[in-house]
Amino acid sequence: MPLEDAEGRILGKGSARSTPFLDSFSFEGHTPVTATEANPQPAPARVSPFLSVYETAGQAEYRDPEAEALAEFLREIHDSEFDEALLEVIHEAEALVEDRFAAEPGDLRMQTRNVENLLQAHLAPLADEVGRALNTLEEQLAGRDPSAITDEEIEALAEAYVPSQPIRPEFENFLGKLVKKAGSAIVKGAKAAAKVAGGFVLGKFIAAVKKLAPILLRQVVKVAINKLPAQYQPLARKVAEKLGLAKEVAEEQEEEGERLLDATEDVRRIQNEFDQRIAELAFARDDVERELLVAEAAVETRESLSSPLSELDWARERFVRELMELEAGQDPTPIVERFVPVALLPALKLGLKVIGRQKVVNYLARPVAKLIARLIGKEHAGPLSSALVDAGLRLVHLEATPEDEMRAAGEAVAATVEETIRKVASLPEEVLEDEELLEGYVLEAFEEAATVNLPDILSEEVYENRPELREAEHFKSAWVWRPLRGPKRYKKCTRIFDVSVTPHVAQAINTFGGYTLAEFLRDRLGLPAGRPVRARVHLYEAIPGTSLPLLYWHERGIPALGTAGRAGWSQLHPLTPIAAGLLCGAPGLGRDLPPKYWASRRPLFVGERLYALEIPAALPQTVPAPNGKTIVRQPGTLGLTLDFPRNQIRLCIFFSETEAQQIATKIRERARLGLVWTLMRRKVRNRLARAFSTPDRVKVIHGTVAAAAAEPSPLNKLPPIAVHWLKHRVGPALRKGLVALLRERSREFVAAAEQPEDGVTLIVTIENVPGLALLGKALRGETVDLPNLQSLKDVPNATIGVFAGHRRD
Amino acid sequence: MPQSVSLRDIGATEGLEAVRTQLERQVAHWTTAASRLEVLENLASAEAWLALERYLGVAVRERLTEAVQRLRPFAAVLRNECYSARSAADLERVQRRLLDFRHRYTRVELCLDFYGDCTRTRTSPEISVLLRACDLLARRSMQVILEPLGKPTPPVLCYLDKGVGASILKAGLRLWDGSTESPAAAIKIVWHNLFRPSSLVHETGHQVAHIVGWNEELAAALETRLAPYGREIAKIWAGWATELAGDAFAFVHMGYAAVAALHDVVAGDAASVFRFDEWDPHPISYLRVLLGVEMCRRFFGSGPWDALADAWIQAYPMANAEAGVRRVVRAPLLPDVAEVCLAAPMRAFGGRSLAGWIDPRRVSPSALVQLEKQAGAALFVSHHWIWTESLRLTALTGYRMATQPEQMADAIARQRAWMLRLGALLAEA
Repeated sequence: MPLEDAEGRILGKGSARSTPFLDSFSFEGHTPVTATEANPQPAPARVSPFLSVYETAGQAEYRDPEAEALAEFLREIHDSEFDEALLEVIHEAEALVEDRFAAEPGDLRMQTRNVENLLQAHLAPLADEVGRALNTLEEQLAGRDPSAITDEEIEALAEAYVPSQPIRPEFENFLGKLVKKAGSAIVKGAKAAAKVAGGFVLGKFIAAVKKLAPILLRQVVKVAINKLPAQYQPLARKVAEKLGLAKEVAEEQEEEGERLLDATEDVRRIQNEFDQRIAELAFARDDVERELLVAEAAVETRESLSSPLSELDWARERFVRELMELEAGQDPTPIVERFVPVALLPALKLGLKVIGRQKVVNYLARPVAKLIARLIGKEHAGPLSSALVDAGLRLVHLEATPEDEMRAAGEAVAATVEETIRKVASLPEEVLEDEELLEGYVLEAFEEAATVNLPDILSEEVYENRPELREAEHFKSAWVWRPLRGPKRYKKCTRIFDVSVTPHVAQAINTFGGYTLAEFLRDRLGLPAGRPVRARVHLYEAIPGTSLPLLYWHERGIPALGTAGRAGWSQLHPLTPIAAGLLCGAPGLGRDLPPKYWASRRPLFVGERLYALEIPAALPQTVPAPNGKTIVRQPGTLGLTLDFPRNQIRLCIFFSETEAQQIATKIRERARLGLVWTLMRRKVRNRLARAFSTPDRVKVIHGTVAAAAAEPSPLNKLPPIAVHWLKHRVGPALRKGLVALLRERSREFVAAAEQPEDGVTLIVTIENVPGLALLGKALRGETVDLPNLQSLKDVPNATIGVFAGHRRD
Repeated sequence: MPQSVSLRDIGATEGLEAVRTQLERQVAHWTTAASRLEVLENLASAEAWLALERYLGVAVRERLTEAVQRLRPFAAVLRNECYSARSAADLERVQRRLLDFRHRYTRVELCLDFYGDCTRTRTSPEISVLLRACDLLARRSMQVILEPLGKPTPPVLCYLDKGVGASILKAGLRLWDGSTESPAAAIKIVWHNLFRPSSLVHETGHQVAHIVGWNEELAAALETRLAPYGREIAKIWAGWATELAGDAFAFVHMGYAAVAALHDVVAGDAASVFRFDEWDPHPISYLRVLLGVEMCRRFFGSGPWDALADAWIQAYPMANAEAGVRRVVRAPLLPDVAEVCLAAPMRAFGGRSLAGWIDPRRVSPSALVQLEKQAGAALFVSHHWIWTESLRLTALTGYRMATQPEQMADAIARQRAWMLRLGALLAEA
């Protein structure tokens, strides 16, 4: 680690000797290891009670029943609504931190401590209530036979708990979900533990689970402070080994070099980790082991918090300042060298295989410095600043002074350098080792980064020969860091588009959660479906640490984003090339979105593009839920569950309120069956196709699949022909069931639509699907006779339950 | 702050000193009162202001604070002049400035009090939700025509107050202080009509007419069309254009419900029904009701409005009107007025008529019955219907109240229930 003075300049050996604190070298061993440096080897897993896949190699038919029990347990206690509740708590915490500390410079460690104190005070009422709620739960379950407690009873207990004092709505929501999860985990854990080991005492198990709850809240603090994704989790590896999935996890790690960087922590990881800890408790051999597990967890909660993002903020600030101060002809290499290690932080946090930091510094600094030489210094800053203003800088920085505009030129160069470094750092090691090859890659990465961050500064002739060097040819634009002053949280395009979103355009654009933009506009914003919508389109790009609350906090002047709560933070959509082409006439502004990121708005990936529609006529819609709370209106969805143990396929089809009323109206009007079916089919067909391509929409209950929302989709393990077969089995069975429903029980649908709940849910169960067992074997990696699948032509029967409101399987 | 100098020291009479003391006290009183106005939380809680602003999307507090801060320089000048006054002439000037300052203060206070009142009426949870529903109804009624005309729909802030009829403070108008622009259309709903809010749409008609410039065009069109009935008559009707615009707008959205509700508001004693004031923009009430009936006949044919007209004519014999009023009332021109208001193409509406944009047949009794059949039991329960058909639901409930008075209590309960649902749709998640 280079020694730096107070100004951040690297000190040579001589300088080091001149310090009066020569003895400080002796403290080297005690220097606190920052999170960025820490790269702990995963702790060796304790001896697993289960066989790993390696032990079963060559015995493909064998599957450890206890591993399957563990998988089943994890699946049963997983609750996707818990992720949403947790996300709300985290969002509020992040917004609070931003509100309080966004513009407050100071000592980095001191600020981290202050943020931690603020968050602990903020979460204290929730922590108190969690303790009380779990005590109440313990009293209610004590002495009961776990096998006699149903899920409904647990849900009722969670619903019935009333906080002892008024708490924030997001806390209340989270509390309800936590109690439900804890109750479910206790009951199911007790059942599972009874099978695994004797001497199980329910009271001790509950006490252990209670001790895990504070760890969860500590995670919220961690995420809000250290916004970057956590490093690879040793705990995840340990459980994966028990599940017999160590090989798959290892392969996934191998592929990480090519993966995109998450801009923030994936909140789903927190639930998974919490569930895994409970699973360890449930499957522990005895109470001694349980106590050890709780103690281990407690030690982890005490580890100090760090804020690598703040480190990056500071380094950026310094880098820009130094770039601006350079004189004409002065070599920028030393300041680039200082910036490179910090710019690499987000990549290191994800555990990317980056060769030694110093090596990267050496390789990258000089060529990058050479590339920016003609963009920096007082001589070039003026023209670059003018080009940025020309591209619309003042539209996004309304309050910018002439000094800010000059500074924006430095920031544009800094952003270009930062992105170049990150792109190059993720290259394969053999490229990084080959200086000749590397030069070409650096140039390519630099051009890509400059295309985004710099305005049009090359001649038209160059752009004619190489159109890829700018994102749009009909207008000038650039992406600038926001906010204008203080730490940078995201980028915004300098151009804001005034557009008319026609119904056809809205229909052709998909957004998060597997909806179309048309569905979003109708069901979330209450806009009439058949009319064009006038809107201003604001474009954003995620950088390391970008999360929605931060973006909203800084963009709160824009009415579309200014609304608090979920209705507000669901106003951003993915700017794919299709969306960018249709809305802005410039597909080059869009970025492809890998399947993992389609499911929700968190995490975003670094470089992900988003847009917000500013629509004066739009009013985000909420509806009262049966429990008295307020929830946002839901667009229609379709979820698919492949339940291998029961040999069932279930579909959870949710028709939004508007869709449900359209169908119910047709039924009331006694329209011909064909017309009603066509209306229903149009909605179901597209969603079924989307479900197969969106990981979160497919739930697989199988011994090899642990969590409910697995990523990548477990269907990826199947040969394409099997997935194709599956689609063609589900479609006809569904049609048969839905047509029978419309023919014989349409009044049930109408009655459900007449309830005040939001929309209507159909839960379709297809029993005894021929061939499903074969797919189950294929998922285990067993050899199956796929042609045999094709010969199974029977359309199985489906039973359908009709429910008012939004249900999940 | 300049040092106070006693007039006695500079040879003034005791009388002048006494005047000066009185002025000093008054200056101190009004300037400190003005500085107290800057604390808007004295009028309504910070949370109430914040909720209002988030909801309206307009920085109401910022505008009001600016209005108060505009008093500052006047207060400073007043204090300086008071302290440095040395002669009777100086004191007279201070006196004049003081009066001017009081006037300014009162106007700013009026602005603040107005918005403070509006905000405070939303402190009860139920009233707050109901008023949100009214805001939405009002906005919807304007949006449907302003949006396709490319005009922005202003935010709406409804508030409850005493009185017989609704009123509007249009968005974009200069407020009482002469400088601050009204940030939203502020519509007064009267308590007795909270669940028969068709008058709300009459008020939004004023806002729409103001935005698109319909009033002037309608006045000119009426004057031309009614010229054959005599220049004076035509001028009188043209002078009523702004209120006719409101009535026509309420009719196209609410149908017969608007006519019956208007009837119930104006059905006072004979003197009020036949009152005519040439400066009053409201038409003679007797004619307003009959014009509403004429609009129903033109678009819906015959119906319960015929009976209403008969009863109206019977209840208010023309013999009770003054001779001059009788002359105005007798002119058989209502079909022409209805035609001009509803069916005549207008530049203000992009060359189309009002009914061309908002077809009154959507709220004809048969169309409302059809809506009931389509939606069944979901009509007043489903947020789809409540959200998309809120105006027609008001028209339907109003129609039922007008034609089935024996079920008035049920109709009001139903209206209240669905308005609560509508208001709840805009709650924060």
